[in-house]
Amino acid sequence: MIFFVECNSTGIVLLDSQGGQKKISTAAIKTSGGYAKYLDRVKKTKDSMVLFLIRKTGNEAYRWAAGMAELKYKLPIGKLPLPNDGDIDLSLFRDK
Amino acid sequence: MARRRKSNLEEGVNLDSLMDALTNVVAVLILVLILVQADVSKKVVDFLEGLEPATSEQVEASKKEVEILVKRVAELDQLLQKDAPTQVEIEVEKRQLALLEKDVKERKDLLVELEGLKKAAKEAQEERDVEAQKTEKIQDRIAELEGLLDETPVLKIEPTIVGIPASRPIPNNASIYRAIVIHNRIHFIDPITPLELFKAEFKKAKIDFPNQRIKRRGSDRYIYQAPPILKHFKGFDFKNSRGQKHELTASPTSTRLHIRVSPNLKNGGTSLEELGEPRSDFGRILDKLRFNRRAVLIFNVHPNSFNTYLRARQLADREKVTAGWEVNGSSAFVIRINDIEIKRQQEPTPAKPGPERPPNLPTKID
Repeated sequence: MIFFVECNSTGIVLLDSQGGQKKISTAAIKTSGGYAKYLDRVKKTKDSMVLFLIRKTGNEAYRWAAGMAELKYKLPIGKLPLPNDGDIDLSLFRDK
Repeated sequence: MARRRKSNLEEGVNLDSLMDALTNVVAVLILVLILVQADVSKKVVDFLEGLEPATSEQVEASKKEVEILVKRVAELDQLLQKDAPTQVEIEVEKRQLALLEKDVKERKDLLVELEGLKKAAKEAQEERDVEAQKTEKIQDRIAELEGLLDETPVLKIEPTIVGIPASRPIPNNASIYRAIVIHNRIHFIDPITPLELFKAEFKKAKIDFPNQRIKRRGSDRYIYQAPPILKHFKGFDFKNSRGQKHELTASPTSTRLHIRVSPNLKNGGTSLEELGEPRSDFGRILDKLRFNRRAVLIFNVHPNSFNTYLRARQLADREKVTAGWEVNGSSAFVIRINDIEIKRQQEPTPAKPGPERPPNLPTKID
C-alpha cells in the first residue's frame, strides 16, 4: 500500500486513502505527533511505502519528512516531482 | 419814463399786436388739440383691435382666481371681526419669534454642512457615473472574451505518465553518471573520464609535486602542496566533447582537490523540445548507457525543470537505464578526488549556531 505525503513550501500534507488531508508545518515535522502516528501506521501496514510528492518549493520539507521516515522509522520511501501547482487527485489509487 | 407815460397818454394804447399774438397762440393750441385727439383715437382703435379674446380656459382660471380672492377677503373680514390680541399674547408671539430667529442662527452651520453634503453627493454621483462607464466597458470586454473563449477549442493536455519509484541503494560497484536538469535543458555529466584522465596525468607528473611523507603501517601517507598541482593542470584537456568547462580547484579549508564541471547552460545539453526528437544528444547517451549494466544515472534536478526531468526520465526508463534523482539547484557538478590528499591552507571556521538543518539523505536509485 502506498501512503502519499505532499511536500510544499510550508510543510507537508498527509494524504489518507479517504481523501482527507492533515497539514504539518516544516518546523513541526520533527516533533509532530500526527506525523509520527502516520509513520507508525505505515510501519504496521504490510508491503507499504511512503511516496513523497515534491512541489517545486518543497525540498526542505521533503528532506525533514523523508529523513524521519527513512532514518528513524526505516521505512521504504520513494519520491516524485510535481511540476504543476494543481490539486492532487488520488482517486485512481483509492479505487484500486 | 415820464416822457413815455406822456406819449402814451397823448397817442392812446395800441393792442393790435397783442391781439395777433394771442390769436396765434390760440390757433396753435387748437391745432395741437386736434392732433392729440386724432392720436388718442388711433391708439384706442389700435388697442381694441390688438386685444385678443379670452379663451374659455382663461375665463375659468380667472373665475377660480376670483373665488380664491373672495375667500381670502372673507377670511380677512373674519380676522378683522375678531378681538385684537392682548399684550400678553403679543409678548408670547414675540418670544416665539425671538426663539425662531435664534434657532435660525444656530442652524446656519447645519445649512453650511448641507451645502457640503450636496457637493459631496454631486461628486460621488460623478464618480459613480465614471465607474459605471468603466464597468460597462469591462462588461463589454468580458462578453467579448467569453465569446472568444466559446470559439476557442479546449486544449487537451496529455497526462505525464510516471512509474511508482521503488527506492533502493546504489550498488557499490556502480558507475555513477550525472545529469544536471536546469532551465529546461538536460546536461549529461561524465564524472568518471575526467577523474581517470586526472589520475593518469598526476601519476606521470607527481614526482614534480612537493609533498610531505608520513610513514605508517601499510602504505605511507603523502600530503601534497596544492598550488603546484593546480598550476600543472591549468588548461589541462579533460577531453570533453559536450562543450563543458572543467577546472581543477582546491578550497583553502579542504584536504581534497575537486574538478568542477560547468555545462554551457544556454546552448549546451538537450532542451525539453529536443528530448522529443528521435535522435537527440541525450537519447544517444542513453543508447550507450543501456549497454553498461553498472551504469546508474542520477538526475540533479533544479526545481524550475521538473517537467524536463519527467520527460528525460521517461526516456531513461524506456531504455532501461537505472536511474535516480534528487532536487539540486546547482548549475555545476563537483567531482571530489578522494585518492590525493592536499595540505589544508586554512582551518575551517566553526559552524555558526543557526537553525537546525535537515539530515542529508543518501543518493538512491528511485
